[in-house]
Amino acid sequence: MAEKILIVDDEMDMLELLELIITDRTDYQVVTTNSPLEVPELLKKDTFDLLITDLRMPDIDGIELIEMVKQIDDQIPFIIITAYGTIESAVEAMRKGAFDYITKPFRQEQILLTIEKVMKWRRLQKENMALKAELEKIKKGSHG
Amino acid sequence: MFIQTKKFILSIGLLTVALLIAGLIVGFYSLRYMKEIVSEQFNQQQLELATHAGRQLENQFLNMIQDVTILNQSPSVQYLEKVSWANRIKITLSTLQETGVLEIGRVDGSGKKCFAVTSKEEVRIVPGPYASQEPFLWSKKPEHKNRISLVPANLKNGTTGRPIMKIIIPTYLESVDDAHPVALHRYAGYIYLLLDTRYFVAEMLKEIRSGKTGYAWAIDNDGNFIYHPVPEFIGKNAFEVRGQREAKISFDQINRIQKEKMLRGVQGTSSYVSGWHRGMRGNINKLIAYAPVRLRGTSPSITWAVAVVAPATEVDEVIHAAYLWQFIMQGFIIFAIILGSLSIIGYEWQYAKTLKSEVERKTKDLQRSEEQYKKLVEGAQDIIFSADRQGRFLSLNRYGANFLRGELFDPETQESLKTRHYVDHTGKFIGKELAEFFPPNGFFHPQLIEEIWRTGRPKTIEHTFKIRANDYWLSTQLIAIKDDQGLVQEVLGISRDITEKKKIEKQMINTEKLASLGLLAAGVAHEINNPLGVILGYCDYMLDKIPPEDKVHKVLEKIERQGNHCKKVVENLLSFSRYTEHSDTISDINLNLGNVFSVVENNLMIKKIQLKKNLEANLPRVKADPVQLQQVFLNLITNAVAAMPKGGTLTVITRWNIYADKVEVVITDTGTGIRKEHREKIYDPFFTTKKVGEGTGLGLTVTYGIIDHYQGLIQLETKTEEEDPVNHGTSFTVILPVYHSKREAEKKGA
Repeated sequence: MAEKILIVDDEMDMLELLELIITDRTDYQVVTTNSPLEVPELLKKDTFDLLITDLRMPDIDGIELIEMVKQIDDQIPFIIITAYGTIESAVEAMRKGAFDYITKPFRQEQILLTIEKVMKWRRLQKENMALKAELEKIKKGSHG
Repeated sequence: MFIQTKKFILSIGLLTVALLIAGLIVGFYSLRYMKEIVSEQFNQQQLELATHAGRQLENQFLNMIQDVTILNQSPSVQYLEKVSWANRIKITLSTLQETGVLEIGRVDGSGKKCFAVTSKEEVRIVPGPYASQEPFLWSKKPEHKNRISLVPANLKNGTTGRPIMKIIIPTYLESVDDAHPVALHRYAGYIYLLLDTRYFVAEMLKEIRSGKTGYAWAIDNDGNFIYHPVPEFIGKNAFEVRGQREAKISFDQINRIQKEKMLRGVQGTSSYVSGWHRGMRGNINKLIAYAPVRLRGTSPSITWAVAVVAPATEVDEVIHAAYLWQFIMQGFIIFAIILGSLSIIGYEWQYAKTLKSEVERKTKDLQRSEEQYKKLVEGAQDIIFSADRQGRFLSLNRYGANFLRGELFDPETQESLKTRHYVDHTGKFIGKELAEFFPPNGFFHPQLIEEIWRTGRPKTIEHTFKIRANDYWLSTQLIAIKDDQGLVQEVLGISRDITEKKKIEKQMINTEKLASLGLLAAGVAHEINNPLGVILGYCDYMLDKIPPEDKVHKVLEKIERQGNHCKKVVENLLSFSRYTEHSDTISDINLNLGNVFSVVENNLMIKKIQLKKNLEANLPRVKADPVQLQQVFLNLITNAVAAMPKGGTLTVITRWNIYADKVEVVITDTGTGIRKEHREKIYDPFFTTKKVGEGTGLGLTVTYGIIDHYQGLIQLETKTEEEDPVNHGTSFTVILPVYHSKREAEKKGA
């Protein structure tokens, strides 16, 4: 089952570009939305392995979006796309638990590399969780 | 001053003494004059006394004669009636006794008998041959009818030395009575009176007092004393008796008076020297007044004289006492005047002294304040001048003169001299026109002075000012100096060199401009960044899809190249606007410079640029983001390299200014320098002298923004080849405050 990536950006062309690059170069499934307010609903409906979001959007700030997402799923990793000038905000986002950030304008290699890094980590995380669950079972079994 | 005062006091003293002496002399003369006047008056009083006494004696004599005449008319006396003559005579005698009549008698017409009654009421009939005697002979003469004769007589009974007068009146039978009914008008002898003249006169004169001790005396027509307070004189000749008494003294004066005046029946006043006065002896000046006593009816007429005398000392004493008092009073007055004058002089002197010291003090104060003002004016680092209506210099301070002559500008160091010792060049300016030194192209025009003169209102203008190759900004305040009437006397000008201020102002303006530009740039950058990101993203994607030999690939490459240039501009804009964001990093300047050198060294070698490093060891750290600092140094070095296309020297100096607690980085090139018209624009965004596409015009803007963000300063010194063919080039100095950790700051505080 292919891993799913949710991309949030108010800029439609950007969304499409990202989708184009990812679907063209990887096997991941991509879901896009240009409305950050839809994100919680999408997250509840489906499970995602990565969230890519712009930092500066109308309606809702990228940082706020992270807060919101964390309340629904605190395990999901995310990548912040930021302009060079808002590097401080990116740093703050990292503190909030963003896995990494990409500055605009970016080359496709950059974004692909970053996505790959996150996905590796995500797989490890999942494996880890599965092992932990297995361990719990064994523990329970030994008791039972 | 003091000598003059001394002279003045001396002359005042002398004048006072002279006045006193003059006062004394005048007093003396006035005393004499007063004496004369008083003596005169005194003598007049004496004369009154004398004339009065004379008048009284005359009247008494007249009364006596009238009584005797009445007696002579009595028939009992005329006809010598046996029964009644004596009684009749007694009646008259009783009244006349008081006046000194000793005896009244009647010699009959035959001259054979004398019928007399004495004051002792003795009645005698004395026979005698009277007819041959002088009285009878005199009385018999018809022309002597109703006349009186006086002859000296002697009494038989011991009245020696007493002058006795016989008064004779002829008797004619003119009365009638029972026995003689018809008057015969015949000569019938005479009636006589024996008069004790001393007594007669003394009764009148002894009471006379002139002054305190003055007295009266009298002489008869022969010059014999009839009366004198000195009893032994009486009856003696007045011309002799005095000399007998006091031989040493000459009595000429009184003798002359007696002879020429008194005996001639003249009244008057005079003075003479006597040998005595009552109890006193010696030369005594006497005042005399004399008056005649005319015995009327006497034939030949007889005149006595009365004199009233008093010693002159009487008058003197009175006057002297008065004068003594007056003199004492005068003395007091003069003394008071002198004392007053002295005190006034003293006070004046004191006052003058005080005034002098006050004036001296004031003068000193004035001098001090003048000096102070001079110091102020001369020590001021401003051009202070005054001008007349024609706009000519009336005065100018040394600083101003040096400034206007360009003496304060050092051509070697290209700096203004910070000296405190100015050569006096002011003489070269006084009387010359302001316009000669303040060129009108700097908005300072001669009409300004006229305007201030007209309006009286101060005016401040800021104007440029060119000295040699340097441009200055001056702020000139022109103030109308008015006199008490409010008329403008001169115009005071104070010009301050505000070049530095202007620079700072410009920097401030720049800073604000850049701050607002930063915000704008940030906004713009973000807005451009997104579409640019999309463009470059798609371009990147397309370049992957299209084989490189395809024409479209070339087009896409062009799009990507231009997009990347765009991206650079946006990045610069963003980094320029980034100074609004915080970063609390601490940097080591030398280390950062080292990083930059390692990047550019290769490039410098290629461009034939020699790098001279002079980095101070142990430089304190500064509060700045190292990445941004590197950006600053890189920008400055890149510009320096660009300014030296034919090669040159790049000098980088770091130093620690301990006094200002700042770290300074000086980056100097030997390049073309920045042209004057560009100097003010170098920090403006998008201002570049590079070809289009080569430079963004944001390098120095970003540099400025970064340095300003860390409370630093950036200074420029530059000379183009035209300005200085030898030492041309540009030098940027970055000044950053030294970073102190909180602990250090606390230590400093403690």
